[in-house]
Amino acid sequence: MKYVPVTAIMHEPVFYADVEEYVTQIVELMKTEGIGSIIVLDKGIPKGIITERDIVKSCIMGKSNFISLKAKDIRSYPIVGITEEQSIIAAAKLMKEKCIKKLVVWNGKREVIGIITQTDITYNIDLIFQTS
Amino acid sequence: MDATVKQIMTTELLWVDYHDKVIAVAAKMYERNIGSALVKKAGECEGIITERDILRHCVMGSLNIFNSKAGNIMSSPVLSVNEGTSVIEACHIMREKKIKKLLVMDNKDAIKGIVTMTDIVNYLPTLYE
Repeated sequence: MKYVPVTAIMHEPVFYADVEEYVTQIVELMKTEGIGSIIVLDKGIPKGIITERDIVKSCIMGKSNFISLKAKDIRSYPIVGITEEQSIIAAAKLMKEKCIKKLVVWNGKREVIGIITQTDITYNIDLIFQTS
Repeated sequence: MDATVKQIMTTELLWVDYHDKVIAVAAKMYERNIGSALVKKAGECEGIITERDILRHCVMGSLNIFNSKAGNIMSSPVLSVNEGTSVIEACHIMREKKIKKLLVMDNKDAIKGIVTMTDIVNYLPTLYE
């Protein structure tokens, strides 16, 4: 197996929403952009992530209150991230440990530079094993 | 890496009926912490429901989660591979077909399990242990 940094397969751009934004608006954004997650900002600082799972769960639990739900009500917090020089295998290990499907990729200044998902890893399996 | 899907697949499957309400299917999925349910009709596997199907049809789409039935939102047919298929080949099929889960069948075409991206990602670090 080969060392491949997460930056080789992460995807960008990353989409954001404010904590006060309505979940219905976020669903619309995910639909138009064809994305599976968005980062939640509180005063401009990343303070959570909303995934498809969070939305489906909130729709079921929230029932008729769904339209009044805001990003802050359903976000997963804290964000689990990995630094840009880490390997894809390290990302896989962290996903396994935390039982999650997506990780934020941080740079040295702790700024979000991308997202790496189970899909990114699976689709790029040849990259990891190309020298084996 | 020459592992087969049989070595990494999930054998615990969640079965629901074609006529079950989506809300009941979703509740079962979360109760058992499983990301998908296989839909049975007349004893056969007719389709699969994932969180994404629920999101697309009932949250983003026009169907009502409380009234719709499993059969209305399932993806069908369910793609499958033989249990001897390599993990790498399963990854290629997922990429090509843009799916995250594959049914795993034995040589008699009986369902033995399901292999998901979670199974694959969880398997990778074990190669270093």
